[in-house]
Amino acid sequence: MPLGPGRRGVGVIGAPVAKAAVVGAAISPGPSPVAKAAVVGAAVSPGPSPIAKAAVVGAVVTPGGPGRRRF
Amino acid sequence: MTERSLDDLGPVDYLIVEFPAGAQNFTGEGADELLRLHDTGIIRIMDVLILAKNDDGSVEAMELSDLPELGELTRLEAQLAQTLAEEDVENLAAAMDPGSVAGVLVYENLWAAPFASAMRRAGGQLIANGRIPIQAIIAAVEADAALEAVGV
Repeated sequence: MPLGPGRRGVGVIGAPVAKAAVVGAAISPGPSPVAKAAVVGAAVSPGPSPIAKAAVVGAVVTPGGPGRRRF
Repeated sequence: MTERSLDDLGPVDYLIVEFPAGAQNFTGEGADELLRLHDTGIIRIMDVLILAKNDDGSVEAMELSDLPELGELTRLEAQLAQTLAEEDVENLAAAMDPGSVAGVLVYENLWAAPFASAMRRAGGQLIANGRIPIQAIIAAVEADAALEAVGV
């Protein structure tokens, strides 16, 4: 079904989209090259942050525990 | 809608939800939840497309208005900005399996807009973002537990 004239023009996606990884293999061990992103997180929630784990995997991780980081 | 400056805009994301052939169970629940997010101001839905990928790999794109029964989604139709262009369709459909149907959603994260604006005013610029699959977090936690169990 052809789309209407409002759909002409330059696209915003830019490149073929890859299917997202659904399994844990997406995790890459070791220091992350996107570590800078943590700076923003630190500005939002100062101090050690079990937040993500507590919020998302609450039943698995105990908030306030030693955490997973071994820097 | 009230006029907003570019600096007031929240981050805009897109997502594609694929419904594989034989696993399509549309009850309207998803549409209700989407409208709830929109109506409560958590997100602003900017665009919606429905894609169907045929077995031969060809793709059909449909607007919301092409659907026979829109229900409550009718309210959204007039507010869509048609952010996606026709040339986006092929790029988006690259992630789909033949025989599947997908909903493509473009939305502004209204909830993040004030924080994003504040970061910009402070001189910050977003240099990376992403989503961590819940499965990945669970796998990492489980892997840690396994390592601890063997004393590593």
